Amino acid sequence: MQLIRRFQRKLHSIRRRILIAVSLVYLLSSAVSAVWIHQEISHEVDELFDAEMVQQAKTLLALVSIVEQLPAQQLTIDPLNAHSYEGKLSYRIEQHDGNVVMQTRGSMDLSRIDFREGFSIQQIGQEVWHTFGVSSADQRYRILLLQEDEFRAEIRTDLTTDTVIPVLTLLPLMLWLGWWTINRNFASFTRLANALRRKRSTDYQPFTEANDPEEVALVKRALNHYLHRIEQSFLRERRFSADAAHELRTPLASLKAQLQNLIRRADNDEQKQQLNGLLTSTERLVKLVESLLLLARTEMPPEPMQALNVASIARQVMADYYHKLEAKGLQYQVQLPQRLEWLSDEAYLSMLLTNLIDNAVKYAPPGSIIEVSVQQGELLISNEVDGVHQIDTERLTERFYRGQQLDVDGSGLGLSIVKQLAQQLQLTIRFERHQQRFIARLHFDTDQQTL
Amino acid sequence: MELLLIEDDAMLGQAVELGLSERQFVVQWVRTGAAAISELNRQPYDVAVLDLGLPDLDGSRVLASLRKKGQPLPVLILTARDDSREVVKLLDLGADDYMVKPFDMNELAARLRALVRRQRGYASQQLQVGPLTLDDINHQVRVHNQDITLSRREFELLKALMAAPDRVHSRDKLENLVFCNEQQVESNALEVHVHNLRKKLGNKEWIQTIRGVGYRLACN
Repeated sequence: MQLIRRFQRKLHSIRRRILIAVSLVYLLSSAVSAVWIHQEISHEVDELFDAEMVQQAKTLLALVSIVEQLPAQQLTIDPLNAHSYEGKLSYRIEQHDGNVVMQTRGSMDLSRIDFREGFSIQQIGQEVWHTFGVSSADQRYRILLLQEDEFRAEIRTDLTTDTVIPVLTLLPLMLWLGWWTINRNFASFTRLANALRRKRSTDYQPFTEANDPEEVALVKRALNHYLHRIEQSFLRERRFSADAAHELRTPLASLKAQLQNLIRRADNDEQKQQLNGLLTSTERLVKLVESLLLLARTEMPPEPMQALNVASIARQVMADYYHKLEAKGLQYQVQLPQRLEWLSDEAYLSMLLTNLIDNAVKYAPPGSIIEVSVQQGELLISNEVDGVHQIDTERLTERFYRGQQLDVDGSGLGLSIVKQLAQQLQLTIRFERHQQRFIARLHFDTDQQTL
Repeated sequence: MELLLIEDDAMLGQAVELGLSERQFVVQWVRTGAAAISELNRQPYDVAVLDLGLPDLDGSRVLASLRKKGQPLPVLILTARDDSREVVKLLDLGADDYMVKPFDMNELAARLRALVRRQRGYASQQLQVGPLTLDDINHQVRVHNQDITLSRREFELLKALMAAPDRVHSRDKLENLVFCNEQQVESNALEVHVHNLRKKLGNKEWIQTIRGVGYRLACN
């Protein structure tokens, strides 16, 4: 059962199917030609030996005619023992009434074979005999020539076997040659598959079709068509995201500028306070829109990845955030190596780290410490958290999930952006709470990158 | 200061016109690229604010045409897109600064003033932070009006710190600046230069170390 299933699985290869089909056709045509050759040889052999029987008959007729009177008693001619086939060839001379006057002695009693004029085939027991009978011109004697069929059969079999054997001997060679040719031709497909596997997800360059066999070119054309369609939809999406950015930011810019103008001109403090409230709301809206745009933008895969010093990028992000840290009375505790090289994209990685640091700064209680370190190849960013609020680490990266600290200014998108960026950069990110600290672990999977 | 505002959006144009007028700019506002080009041909301006998404011409085309005619006025680009390659392209085309919408009105005015100041040669290549003065052309550094002598690398280091005082500069960025991407830089080479610079400045508090991150100038 298992063997059949294995065989069926093997048959799922076009190459194997072609090879099996070709071999079957080869074997079938060999069989047909063997049968045909056998027929042809039988016919030729019969013609040849029948002609020889006629020739012998003529010789005996001539001898009989020059002898006046053959002795009446039966004369038996002993075998000469000159050839092993001697017994398979005989003749008999008899008088018109069937009285045998002369016959060769063989293994079989020849009298069991009847005289028949002309060619005939007679079966006696197991043996089959070809006979040729002829009467002398004066009708006194009848001559019967006999040949056992085995004599002819051997020639037929031998000749047929001789033509079939080379055909069968060549079968393994033919199989090998067929397998080699098929593999050679299918290599184009393997090359195409490799090229496809190596293609980056943002590479929409069509495959070149030079010198390809028709079948491969067909697949390539279809692939190129597909790539073109994907590229179009990619461009459409990117254009939409860019247009959305423009359409959203311009009115927001106008809103903010007008509010700032109003605040500048406000007559009294009460008015100013109200307008400042409006400006704060506007700025929150701006941040939300920026986060949404960032989320939309980073749905696109990044530029081709390069080897980057992650430690350097982390230090840059920390430097840029220092004023916010200082304003809240927080401090960094940094344990980064001089170099930490990952295959990554600078813009995306920078955004990812910025969001993580931003998150840490937002939720750390004033006066606490933000730790940034590398441990066993993982980049860790952690901040202190108060013991009151629960953190649901499973739901953290859900869009708009804000936990229980609603008083903290945030849109609930920061960690969704982090998760998405991590995915785009083939990084694993884990969040955990360890005692009084909230830790984000960024793991770089080396195996994944070498693919 | 005469300013040409090129902005197609009515509401934003109005707000910026008003806001900048209140901040000592004489604002002429046009809403198309063609109008901007003819306006610039008609009279000279001190500075221009250019929005990228114009209805008739792309903002970059306006900028290119302006620079082709050799008009030297500083141009600040307003953009609503976040494609950093686009920004790099525009800076290469001759833009002097850019801001992403929505921007802060005060910051816009401050940046425009800085552009005009730089254009007029005021404080050209001179940086001043607290008691420190750095002259980039003559390679001079003064502390409380006393000349001090710095090595080339110490000078580059101080210049970078003074260019953005109160900001933290990551050690990697400073290393790149000071050692110009040289290979095989000793891991403590930057520390050595900072140490020497502090000694020469005479006050060790002025250059703060942000442990594990970088340095910051604090001498205001």
